Amino acid sequence: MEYFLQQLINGLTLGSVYGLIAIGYTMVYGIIGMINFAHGDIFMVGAFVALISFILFALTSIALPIVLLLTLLIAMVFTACYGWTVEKLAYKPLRKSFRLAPLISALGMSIVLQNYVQAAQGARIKTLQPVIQGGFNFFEDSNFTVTLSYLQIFIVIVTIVLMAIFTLFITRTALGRAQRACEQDRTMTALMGINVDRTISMTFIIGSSLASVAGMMFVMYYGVIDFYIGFLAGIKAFTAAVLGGIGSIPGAMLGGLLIGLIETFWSGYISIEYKDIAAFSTLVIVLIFFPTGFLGKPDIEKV
Amino acid sequence: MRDNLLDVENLSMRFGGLLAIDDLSFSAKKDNITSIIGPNGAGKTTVFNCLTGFYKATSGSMFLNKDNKKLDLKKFSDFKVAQKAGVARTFQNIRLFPQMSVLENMMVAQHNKLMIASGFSILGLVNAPSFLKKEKEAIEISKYWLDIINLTNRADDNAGDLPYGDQRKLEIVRAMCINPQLLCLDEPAAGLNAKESAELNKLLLFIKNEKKTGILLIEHDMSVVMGISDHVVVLNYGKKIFEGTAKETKNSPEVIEAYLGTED
Repeated sequence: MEYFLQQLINGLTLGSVYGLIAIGYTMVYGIIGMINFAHGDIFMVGAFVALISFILFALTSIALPIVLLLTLLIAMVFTACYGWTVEKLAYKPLRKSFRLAPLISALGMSIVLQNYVQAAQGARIKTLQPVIQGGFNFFEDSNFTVTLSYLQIFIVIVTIVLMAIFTLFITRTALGRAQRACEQDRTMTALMGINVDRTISMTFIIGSSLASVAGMMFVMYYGVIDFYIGFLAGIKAFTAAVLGGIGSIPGAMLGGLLIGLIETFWSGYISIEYKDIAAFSTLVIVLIFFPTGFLGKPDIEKV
Repeated sequence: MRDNLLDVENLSMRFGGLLAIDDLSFSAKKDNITSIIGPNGAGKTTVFNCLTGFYKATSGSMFLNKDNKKLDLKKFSDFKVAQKAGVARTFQNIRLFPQMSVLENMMVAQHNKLMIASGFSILGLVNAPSFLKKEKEAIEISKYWLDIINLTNRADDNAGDLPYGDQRKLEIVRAMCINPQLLCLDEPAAGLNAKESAELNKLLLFIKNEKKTGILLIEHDMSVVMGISDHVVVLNYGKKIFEGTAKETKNSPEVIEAYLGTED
């Protein structure tokens, strides 16, 4: 029971990180119907920006909460610029091209970003001292102590707050409405006088800044990053997006949590070496029984 | 002429060897319903596509009179057609946002002013009073139009769940929400029953008389065309074969020939 509780806590934390990345995949898919394979690497860039900013702030004597907030903002702004640039350079010129073209371009961008970070930061792993330490301990008198660290609380709370803001943004603001309109009919959206290109750019900016927050959480949680983390995290977040139903934003959040939980429970109870297999086999099984994912809407074409 | 809303002069559109529009000139007046009719493949929709920037006309010019300024419609493309020139259009098939509510469909059309009022969403997120006021105005405008087409009680339903005839009307009032100078309607009566097309006529006359918006109408349903048009332009094979009032058109030998053929 105690062990289960611990895995649940760990799983929810990991799931939050995946969920934040998955939103970026699902939004871009929703609006332009392509899988942005460079998104995992945007997440990696976010992790690096957060790491660098943490190290720089460590030299100053600014209080921890302010450091966290500033790092969050810096990571979001820098990474949003990366996301925006990638869209402008690699996807926008191909918008009227055939469907596979931006996909190939995305794979290329992924390689470019990885190699750029490798060249700029070196190939060796980078480490970060724990920024937030300590936590609550439960069941200390039994044979297994459950720990809920402050960092885990921080990660889950930031995720919940960001997702709430994001949901408000999508459902309440004019831009969010325009974004949903673009998903359904881009031509008609343009005929309503809405700048579709700008709306698409905003999608990338928002998706990238959420991924950068995930990157910041990742570097704080694991304390170790390298230029290659974007690949696996990206693929898993993509899995999460598909699991929840690609194109559906609540689906991405749900899928992220599920993948995080499945992975943690699998490594806790079955085998830690094969934890990556758990996530991907779940995907295969789910797609057999729910081809559109859990919350995805089937594409019904009226004849 | 000064009081013309739209002047199309010598418009031609060529697709390879096919001349879809051949040296077409016509004008549309403000607060007039101008119908473009003709047999299938006459080039009617192509005219709309040129006007709304989907196609670049091969030659000729299109001028829109907006606030006493002559706008060259050739210079507008994509979203600027609606935003800057004030030309709204609908398609032959229904192009609502089916998974958004009726009200949201109306609000999307008022995006630009809301976007400015919301300080590009930042003020919208914190529910600033200035934004809420603008949003309330937008809802009022939506409600005004929904009242006219009797859809206010369905404002929160998904647009895709409405009956076909209501979807058609919703498309038209949604287009009115962008505050257009010129409303281009491509076969709005297609698929409507007699009662629904009578309601459509009423709505179009209301837009013309009360809103003083010029309407350009492509239509096959002659009860609509003959009932409400002030001016009819008849196309065949991309050429204008006749222009005049509804009554003149009905009796014109050229038009009858284009539709029914000649006796040999």
